[in-house]
This record gives sequence, C-alpha cells and structure tokens, in this order.
Amino acid sequence: MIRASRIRKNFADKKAINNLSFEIDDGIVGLVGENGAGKSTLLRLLSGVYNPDEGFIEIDGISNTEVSSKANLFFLPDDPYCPNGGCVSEIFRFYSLFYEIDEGIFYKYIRSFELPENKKVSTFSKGMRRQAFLSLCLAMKIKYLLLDEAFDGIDPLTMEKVKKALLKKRQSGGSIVIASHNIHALDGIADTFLLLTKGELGASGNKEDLSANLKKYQVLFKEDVTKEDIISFGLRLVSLKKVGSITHLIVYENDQAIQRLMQAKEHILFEPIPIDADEILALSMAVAKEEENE
Amino acid sequence: MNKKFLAYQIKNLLPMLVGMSIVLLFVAFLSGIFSDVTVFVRTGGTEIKGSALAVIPLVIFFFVFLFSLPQRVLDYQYKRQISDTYLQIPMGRNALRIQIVLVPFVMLLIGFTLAFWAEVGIYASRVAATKPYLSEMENTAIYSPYYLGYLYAYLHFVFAGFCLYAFVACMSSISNSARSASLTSGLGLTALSLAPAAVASFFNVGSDFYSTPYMFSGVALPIVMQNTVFQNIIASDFSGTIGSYQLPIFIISVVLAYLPGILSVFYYFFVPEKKGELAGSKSYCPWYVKVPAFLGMMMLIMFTSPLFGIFRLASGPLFLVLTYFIMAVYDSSFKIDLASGIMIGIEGLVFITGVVINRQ
Repeated sequence: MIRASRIRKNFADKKAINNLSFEIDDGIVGLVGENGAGKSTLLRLLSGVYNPDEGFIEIDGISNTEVSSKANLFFLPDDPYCPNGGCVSEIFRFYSLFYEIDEGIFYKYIRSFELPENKKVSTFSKGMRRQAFLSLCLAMKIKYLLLDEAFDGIDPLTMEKVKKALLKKRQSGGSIVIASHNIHALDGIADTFLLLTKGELGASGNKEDLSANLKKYQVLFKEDVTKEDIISFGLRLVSLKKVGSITHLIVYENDQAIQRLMQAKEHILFEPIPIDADEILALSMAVAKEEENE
Repeated sequence: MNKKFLAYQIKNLLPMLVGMSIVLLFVAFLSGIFSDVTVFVRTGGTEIKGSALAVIPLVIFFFVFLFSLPQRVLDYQYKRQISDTYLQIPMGRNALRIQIVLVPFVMLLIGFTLAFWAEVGIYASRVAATKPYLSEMENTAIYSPYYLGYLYAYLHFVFAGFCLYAFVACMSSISNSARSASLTSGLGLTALSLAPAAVASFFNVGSDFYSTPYMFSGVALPIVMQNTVFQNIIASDFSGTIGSYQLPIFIISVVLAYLPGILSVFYYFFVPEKKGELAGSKSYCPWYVKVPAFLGMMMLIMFTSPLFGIFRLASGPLFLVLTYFIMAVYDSSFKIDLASGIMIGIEGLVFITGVVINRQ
C-alpha cells in the first residue's frame, strides 16, 4: 500500500500540493486533474524525487526515502532519460544497474511494439520512446509503478496492447498509478480514480462512487428551457447540453426537484440515461473545482 | 556504494579522464625536460641558489580540470529529465552524491599522481646526470631532503586540490543549471582570490604586497608562496625567508583558501536543500550566495580603489555593471528582482560615499 499523509509541497510562492492524504491499494489507479493540478508533482513526491515540505509518504509501512522502498517502486516521467543517447539495449543496461528487470520480457515487448533495436532512442518518435520505456516498466520486477502520461503519443492500436499489458501486470499484484489527460484511455483499466484539483484531492473512488450523486436525463422539451429555469426549481445543475432538440442535463440527485421541473415544463420525452465513463471523470473534476472555488 | 553503478561510472568517465591525464602527463614531461637542473646546494657554508622543478604548470592544469569536473558530473541536477531518474533510484541521496562527486576526483588524482611523479622522475634522472659536477658536495646529502620536499609539495597540492574541488562541487550543487553552476563557482573562486587583497588592504599590511603578483593569487596563494618554503626544504634551510609582511598574508590566504573547501564538505552533505528538485526551472541562486557575493563586491569597491590609482573612479561603476549582469544571468532576464536591485543600489551608495570621502 502507498500511503500519503497531509503532504504539502511548495515551489517559491506556489502551493503545488496542499494537505493531501490518501491510500492506494493494489490495482490500477487513474490520477486525473486539469493542467497544473499537481499530478506530476504528486508522482514525483511518491517516488522520492521531491521531498514533501510537510507530511510523509510510506510504501508498505516504510518511508519512501528508504532505499528498500525505492527499490520496489519506479516512476516513469513524461520525458524519460536514456543515458548516452544509446539504443534500447542501453536503456535496459542502465536501469538494470538499479532495478531487477526481466530481459526476456523487455525484449518481448520491444518486438511486440515493433521498435527498432539498433537505432538510437533519440531518433524515435515521442510514441516510440514511450513504448520503449513502457516495455522497460512492464519487465521490471517491482511492486509499484508510477506512470506519467503513459498513453501520450501512442496510437490507438498500440494503446490496446499497452492496456492489455498493464492489466496483465496488475495480476501479479502491486499498484500501477497512471496520470493521464486521456480519460478515455483510463476507462476500462483503472479500478479507482484520484481527482486532483489545484493540488488538493477533489474526489476519489471508482466510477460508481464518483457518479453516486449525479443523475443524467435526456428530455425533449416543447419550449426553450434555460439554465436559470432549471436552477430555479432547486436543482443543482452540473451540465446542460443540447443535441439537436434533445436536452441532456446532469444534476445532483434530487427526485422531488426534477419532478417539479417536469410538471412545470411541457415535454414529450423524459428518461434517465447512464452517464458515460469519461463524462463521470470530467464532471467530477468540474464538481471538485466548483466546490474548491466555493 | 552501488558497485554496478560504480563500474558504469568509471567506464563512462574513462575517456574524458584519460584525456585529462594525457594532458597532465604531457605538461609534466615538458616541465621535467625544460626545468633548470641547478639545485640548492650548500657546501662549506657557501650557498648556491638555483631553482627547483617547475611543478606549478602541472598544478595549474590540475586545478583547471578540478574546476570543470563538478559541473560535468553534477549535470543530473541541471536537467529535469536526468534528475527524475537519479533522484528516484534506490540509493541514499548522500551515497549518490558521494559516489558521483568522489569517483571522478579519485580518477583525476590518479592521473595527476602519475604525472607528478613522472615529472619528478624525469627531473631526477637529469639531476643524476649532472652528478659528476656535484662530487665536492656529496656530503650535503641533497637528494633525500630534496625528494621529501616534493612529497610535501605533492601532498599539499592534493589537499589544496581537494579543497578547491569540494568548494566548486558545493557551488555547483547549489545551482540548478550549468550556467548558474559555472557562474556561482567562478564568483566563489573570484571572491576567494580577491579576499587576501581586500583583507590586506583593510589591515594595510605591507605596501609591498600590492606590487607583487601574489595579490590576485587567491586560492593558489598558499601554493605560490610555498615555493619559498619549498626552496628552503630543498636547501635544508628552514630559516624563514618569508618577509614579515608576507607571513600574515600567507596565513590569511591559507585560511581563506582551505577553510571554504573544508566547510563545503559539511555543507554539501549535511545542509538539506532542494538540490535537483529545481532542475530545468529558472536559475536559482540562494540568498546565502547572493548576500556574500554582494558584500564581497562592496568590499572590492571600498578597498581596491587605491590599487587602480587613476582608474579608481572607473572601478566602482565597472563593478556595479558587472554585478547587474551577473544577477541578470541568475534571473534569466534583464529585469532583475527587487532584492538584487536594492543590493546594487547599496553598492552604488558605497561607491559614491567613497568618492566623496576621497575628494575631501
């Protein structure tokens, strides 16, 4: 388990992480948040690249600054380092100085991603570099993986391979924390989510937890209905979209208020519909941001 | 210590350090060949003064390499990409810092040691070739104290080199970019170099001091002045030939040259700092570097005006402009921050005060 307690991190006059506490159990965790929310900073704190100004972080009960903790955790940043500008073999050789890596699995993934073995990594495209380092991560015999923008630059076909590989890695135990803007990519593999907003924890849990208080309806109104109209019935509106004549509205659960709205406004169609996975995360971020502003 | 990483480090550093060692050996060879073989001898009360082996060129190259090494090996603190890797690897931070900084020093020291004693060996063989001319002086036993003198010199150079290296490594580790590391190290060494002159000026120790090349020797001053001591050891004559004004300067310079290096070792390992965390961000210069640097500049403005004579009115503005550009480099902008601006303002006031007082 990764446990963070009341961690704070400041840079000059900016609060990057503010009083953050959470626990991460086994499985895949999606770390989401707007730009500048502190996702990369948090991953650097967990991996020991940064030391928190306050609070502490433990990996399986041991401080993350201890060598034994560090040996069981690997952080893949958004721009990983390839020493001496060499080939994929140089990546393997360098990182195997510090971590236990299965060479067979590493080259299995390199070949599966069809990466050239004799070309310098510096000549790879962004996506190819990402795949090379993901191969390294997947071959590491460690319990905790922290991936920053794991899917950045990867084409959809390769992304499916990467997702399958991550799910397979999850089966061997431990945690994989993936920070990503690509919420759609996280859908289907992340067991739980951590939402960061301005360095604070906005929300956490699985998709059902995050959407627990939200309801989505599709309605065909006979007349124009505005945001103000909906709010005036005591509903807490999260999202209002029009797709042709159909209005999609997402509100905090309030059965009585929605009934009042439907009685007051003439409509042809009114039915609850499920909220899409990426909508859940985007809405949760918006809700967290709204609550933070309040 | 991570042995696999050590082997990797040595393999990576080998080409550069072998190159440096070859340069040192070449300089040593030239010095050994061209040094005057006339040695100090004493016979029957008669003293013939000569010159010893010119080791200073070799030491200068050694020191230049020592200055450049820390910035090369501490580059993991200057680039976000590399610091993300090195700061997370399963090694203690101090263990990593020791290994990264000490290994290149030891490797260069091996090269210097080989070069130094090769030079002594070349010189010794040339001295031995002159032996027929020294037959009247066989009882002076010039050889053993002569080479003990070189052993003393070697150990002194190694200690001085270590202090210099530790100081530059400390300055480099404070910085978060290669540019600010070079600047901070250069400023630090300049301050150490000029400090003896400023302190001597303050205490008005010996007007002769200003006419000697010693005044700007700074961290090398103990080595430059030890030449006199060295000569005495060779001649088995320990009566001091250091002038009465020179001894206080020698002591001050020893302290100023070596104490920062020794203190740097403690700072490097025991003062917690955001080392490496600011890699890739705006140049970083902590206040405890800026403040002494500005105080040093002020001292220079106050105390070096007599040295420049007719140019004393120019030295103040020159230092002010220099200070501004240095701070602009740290701030990565010609719009320097308020604190830097205030300090330059204070320097300006000091200069104007000095001009007014001088005119009176």
